Amino acid sequence: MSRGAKRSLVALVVVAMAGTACGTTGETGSPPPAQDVGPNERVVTGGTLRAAISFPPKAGLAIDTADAFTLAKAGAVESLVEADATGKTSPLLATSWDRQDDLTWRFTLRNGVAFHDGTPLTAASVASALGFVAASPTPPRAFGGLKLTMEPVDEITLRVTTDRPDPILPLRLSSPNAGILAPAAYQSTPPSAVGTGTGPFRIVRYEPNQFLTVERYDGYWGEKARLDGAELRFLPDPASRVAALRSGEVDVAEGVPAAQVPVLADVPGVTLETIALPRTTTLYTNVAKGALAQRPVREAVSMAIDREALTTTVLEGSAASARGYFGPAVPWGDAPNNAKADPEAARKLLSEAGFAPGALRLRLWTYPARAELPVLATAVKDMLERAGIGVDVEVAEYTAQEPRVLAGEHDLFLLSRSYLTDMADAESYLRSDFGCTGAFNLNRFCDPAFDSLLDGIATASDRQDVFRRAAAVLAEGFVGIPVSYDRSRTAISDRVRGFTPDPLEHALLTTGLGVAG
Amino acid sequence: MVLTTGVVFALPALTGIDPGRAVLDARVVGASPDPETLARLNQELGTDRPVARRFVSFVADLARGDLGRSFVTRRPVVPETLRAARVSLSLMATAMGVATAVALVAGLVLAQRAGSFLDRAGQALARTMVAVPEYVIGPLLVLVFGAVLGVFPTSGWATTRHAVLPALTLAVFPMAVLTQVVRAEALDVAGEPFIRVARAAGLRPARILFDRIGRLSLVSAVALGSALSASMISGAVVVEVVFAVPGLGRLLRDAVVDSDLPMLQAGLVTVSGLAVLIGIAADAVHAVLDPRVRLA
Repeated sequence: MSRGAKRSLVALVVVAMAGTACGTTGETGSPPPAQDVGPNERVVTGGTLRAAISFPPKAGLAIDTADAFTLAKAGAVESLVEADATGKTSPLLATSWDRQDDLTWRFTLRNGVAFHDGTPLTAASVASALGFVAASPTPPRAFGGLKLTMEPVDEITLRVTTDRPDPILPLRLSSPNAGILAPAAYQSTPPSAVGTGTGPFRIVRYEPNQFLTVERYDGYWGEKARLDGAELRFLPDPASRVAALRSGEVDVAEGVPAAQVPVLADVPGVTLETIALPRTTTLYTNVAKGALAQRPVREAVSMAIDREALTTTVLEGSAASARGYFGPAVPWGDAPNNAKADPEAARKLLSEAGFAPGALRLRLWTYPARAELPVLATAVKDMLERAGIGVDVEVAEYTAQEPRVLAGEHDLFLLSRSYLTDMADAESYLRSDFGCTGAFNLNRFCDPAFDSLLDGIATASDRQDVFRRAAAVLAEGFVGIPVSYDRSRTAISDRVRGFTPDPLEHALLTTGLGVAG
Repeated sequence: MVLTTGVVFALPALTGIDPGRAVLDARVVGASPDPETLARLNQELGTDRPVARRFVSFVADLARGDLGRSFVTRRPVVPETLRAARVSLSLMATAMGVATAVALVAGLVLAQRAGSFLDRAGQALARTMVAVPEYVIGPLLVLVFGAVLGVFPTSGWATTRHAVLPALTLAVFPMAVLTQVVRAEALDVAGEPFIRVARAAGLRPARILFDRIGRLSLVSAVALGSALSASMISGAVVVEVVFAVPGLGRLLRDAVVDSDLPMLQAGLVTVSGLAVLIGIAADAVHAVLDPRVRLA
C-alpha cells in the first residue's frame, strides 16, 4: 500500500472517531428573563418547552388522518367548536350555531380570525376545509358516516346540511379531524398544515419521524400563549421517552408505561400526572359459538378474574378495576369495580353449566402493541386455570389477528379500546362494536332489542342515559368482560407550569402552559 | 434484488394481510373496518385490481425508477427512502469506523501481551460483547450515559452528539469480532521471519507493532469488516427504533407494521442495493490495502 493511501485510511478512521465526539448541543438558548407572579412562584412568559410524544405522525400531518391529533396537541389547528369529555360544547372558530331544521345547521364564524399565513378565516374557506375532510376516502370517525354539504351564506355564516337528522353535529365538528386550514394548505397532497392553522402556535418546522417545532402566533385571536415556542419529539419507544425526561432533554413525556411508574417515583424533580381515559381494556368473549355462548360460562370467567390484582400488580396501580364498558372518564360511566374474584363460585357455576374442572379449554388471543396486554393475558390465564378453565394464550401482531377475530375464530380476545370516537359521544362506538351489523363486533353479539335501543338515540332527549342503559344490558349479559379502566400517565419536570392533562388527549400545548424560572 | 422485489410484491397474498385494512388503521387509528370504507380505500390504493395487472404496472414503474406513493403518507417513496438511506449509511459508517479503529488498537495490544491477565480479560470481554445483542446494549447505554450521567442525548438525530450512543451500540459487535481477528492475525505475523529481522535491526517495539504487524492485520480486518458492514443493516433496525433515528431500518419496520407495500418494496430494494454497494466498496478498499489482490 502506498504511503498516501495509508495516510488516507488512517485519516478516515480518525475522522470517524472524532465525528462522534464532537458537535454542538443542539439545545435552545438560555431561559428568558423571568417575571414575578407571586411571592413563591416565578412563571416565565416566554421560554421553550420540549415534549416527547408517543405516536409520530405517519401521514404527513394530513388533517383527514390520525395526524390531526398531533396538530391539535401542538396547538396549531382549531375546529369550529370545542368540546370537553362530558360532551359540553363551547365556541371556538364559530361563535354560535343553531339548528334550522332536521337536516340544516347554521354556524356563525368568529370575526377577525387570520390563518398563520395571514389569510382571513371566511365561510368559504371553512366550507372548503370541511368539504375536503368529508370527501376523504377515510372520513373521520367522528362524522359517523354522515354526509355533509357546506354552503357559505355570507362572509361569516356557513350553512351545513346533513343527509340524515343529526342532533349532535356541533359535537362532531369538535373533532381534530374537522380542523380548519387555510385554502393554500389544500393545494398539496396531503394538505400541508405547516403555517396554515389558526391556533395559538404556528408550525415552523416538521421533520418526519423526528420532531415538530412550533412558535407562538402573535396574531392569534384569543389569549396569547405564554411560551415562545415548543418542540414535540416523536419517540415511539416508551423507554426512550422516559430516558429523555430523566436526562433533561424533554420537559414532558407522555405515555409512561406502567412498569416505569415506580422508577419515576424515585426521580427528583419529576411529577406523574394521571387522568382517567375513555379507554377500557376488555376481554372480548365470542358469544356466538362454543361454551361462551352460555351466559353462566361467561359469568364464571368474569368471577374468576381478580381485577384488583391485575390493576395493582401488572398495571402498577395506574389503572382502575372495570365494571362496565364505560368508566369514570365520562359522566355516564361506572365507578371502579370493587368486587372480589371468587374462583370457587366460578367453579360452581361452570359445574352447573355442565363443565367439570378441566373440561373447558379456551383460546385467549392478544397483541403486543400495548406492552401490558401479553402480561395481563398470562395473568388472566393463571386466574382462569384456578377456576378450572384451561387457557391457550396466543400473542401475535394485531393486523395479522384481526381478520381471524372479525371472522369469529377466537374464544377470548384481550383488547384495549377507546370508546369515544374523537368526541364525547358513544353512539358510533356502541353501533360498531355491539350492533348486529357492527363492523367491529368482536363479541359477535346480536340482539334486535339492543339495536332498537341504539336506534332511539337519534330522538332521545338524554343520549347519555341511553349509553348508560346500553352498557347495563351488556354488563347484565356478560357480553365481554371489562378488566380495567385505563389512565393516561404523563411525566413532567418541575420546570413545567400550567399543565392540565386532557382525558380526550387532544390538548397539550395550551395558552396557559408555561415554564418556571 | 429482482427476487427480493418479487417476494415483497407477493407478501400480502402470502400473509393474508389486507393492505386496505392495515392502511385504514394507520391513517385513522382504531377505525372500524366497514366494507364501504375499505372498498373506497382499496380503490384509491389500486389494490382492487387483479394481481397480474398490478405486477405489470409495478414492473413498468420500476423500470422508470418510480416506486409509487406510500399507502400511508401518500407521498413518493423514493425520496423518503433515499433520505432514510443516507441516515443509515452515516450511522453504519460511523459505527464501522469506530469499531475498526478500536479493534485495531485493542487487538494489537492484546497480541503484544499474549498470555497475560490483560490479554485473557480482553478476550473474555470481546467474547461477551459478541454475545450481547443491540437491544440490550442500547438501553444500557441510554441509561448510563443518557439518563444518569446526562452526557449524550438519548434519542433523535439532530446533531453529531446524537450519533454517539447509536453508533457505539452498533459498533459493539463488529468491534468485538474484529478485535479477536486482529489479535489472531497479529500473533501469526509476529512469528514471521521478517519481524525477527526487524527486531534484530533495532526497530522500536511500538513501531514494529503498529507499522509492520498492524498494517498486515488491518488487511484481514477490513476484509471481515465488509461482511460485518452488510450484516450491520439488520442490527441498525433495532438501534434506529431504540434511539429514534430516522433511518432505513426504522422506515422498514414502520412499513411492515403499517403494511405499506410501496414503502416496503422501496426499502428492501434499497437495502439490497446497499448491501451490494458495500460489498463492492469493501473489495475496492481490500485491493488498495493488499497488493496481492490487485495483482491477482
